[in-house]
Amino acid sequence: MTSSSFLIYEAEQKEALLNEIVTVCQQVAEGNLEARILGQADDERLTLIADSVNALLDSIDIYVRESVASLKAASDHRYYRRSLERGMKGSFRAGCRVINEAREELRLNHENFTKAQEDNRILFEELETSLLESKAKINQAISRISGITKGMKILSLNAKIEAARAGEAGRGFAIVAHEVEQTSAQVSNVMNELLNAFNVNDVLEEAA
Amino acid sequence: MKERRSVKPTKVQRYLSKEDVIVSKTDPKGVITYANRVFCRINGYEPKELIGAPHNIIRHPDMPRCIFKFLWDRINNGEEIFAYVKNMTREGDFYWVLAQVTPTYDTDRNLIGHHSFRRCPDRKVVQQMEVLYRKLRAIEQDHSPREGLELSLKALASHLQEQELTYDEFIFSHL
Repeated sequence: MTSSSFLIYEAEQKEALLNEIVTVCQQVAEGNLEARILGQADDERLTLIADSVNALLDSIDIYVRESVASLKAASDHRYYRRSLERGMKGSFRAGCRVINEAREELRLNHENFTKAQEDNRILFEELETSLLESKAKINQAISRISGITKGMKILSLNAKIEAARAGEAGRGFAIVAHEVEQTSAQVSNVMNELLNAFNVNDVLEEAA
Repeated sequence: MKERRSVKPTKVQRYLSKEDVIVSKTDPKGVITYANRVFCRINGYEPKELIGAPHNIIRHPDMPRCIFKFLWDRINNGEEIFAYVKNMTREGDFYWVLAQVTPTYDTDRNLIGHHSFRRCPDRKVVQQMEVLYRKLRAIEQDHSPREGLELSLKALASHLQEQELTYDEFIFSHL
């Protein structure tokens, strides 16, 4: 290469690098954070500019990646994944810190929420247990009443038979027997209403 | 890079400063598409030598294969990954980094490459990792490649299980 053609080559190289710097800056301004200056030229100043632009882009790139990663982790409840401040400088570092403070808030909120959920679950279980206990007691009472009304039915039937045998003298007694039967039927009705209200048909079947 | 094969690991350790960050980008196959100044400086390569080279150009033979296997599985699954990695420079010297690899997607969510960010690691953690990695590496060397990888992955898993931590929790508990 002659000295004049070498100079032309050098000038072209610088020109190409300058163009690349402009193109990369434009691409980044459009949101392409992947663009980097890869060309080189034998020019200290231009090399320094290219390196500085790349370093700037690396700082922005890692800040964006770090923010996205830590926020995504927080939304997945992986709160240990904090935004790493190491290797970050100035405003980037400050930004990481703000994200981490917010992440800590989210973690605490989540912890409180989880605790509240657990408290609710325990309360619900206690309620459920006491309801089941009450239901069992009601069932017992109903089946006892059911036994009594059954006994009353048989009693009134026997009384009617005895009254018929006694003829005219038993007429008054027959009326009482009829009333006993009516009363037992009424108790049965009330009991059925109770059974419907508590939805304990299984007990009715047992008692019948 | 044929020259690579002749590089012999030395016992010389190099250190990153707290402010130093090594940045590189690769295509989905691991071919370097960008390397920052610090990457070139610490490894002793010119930028134009690195562009187009495979990323394992700085791989140190002391690194257990299972760590890279684990790393690639995670990356291919679209997840970020952190790992303590011992790298080798052009001269065969070594340096430790806390590497973070994240997938890069285009606006249509197609994977277009990987971004690797390496920070200065804590020396104490590096000492722990050296012990763990030596154990994993020994397992790999004592068996056939396939079996060795399987067993070292299992050893890594049980190491985490003993501490009742997931891999990520383990990494972040040491940061």
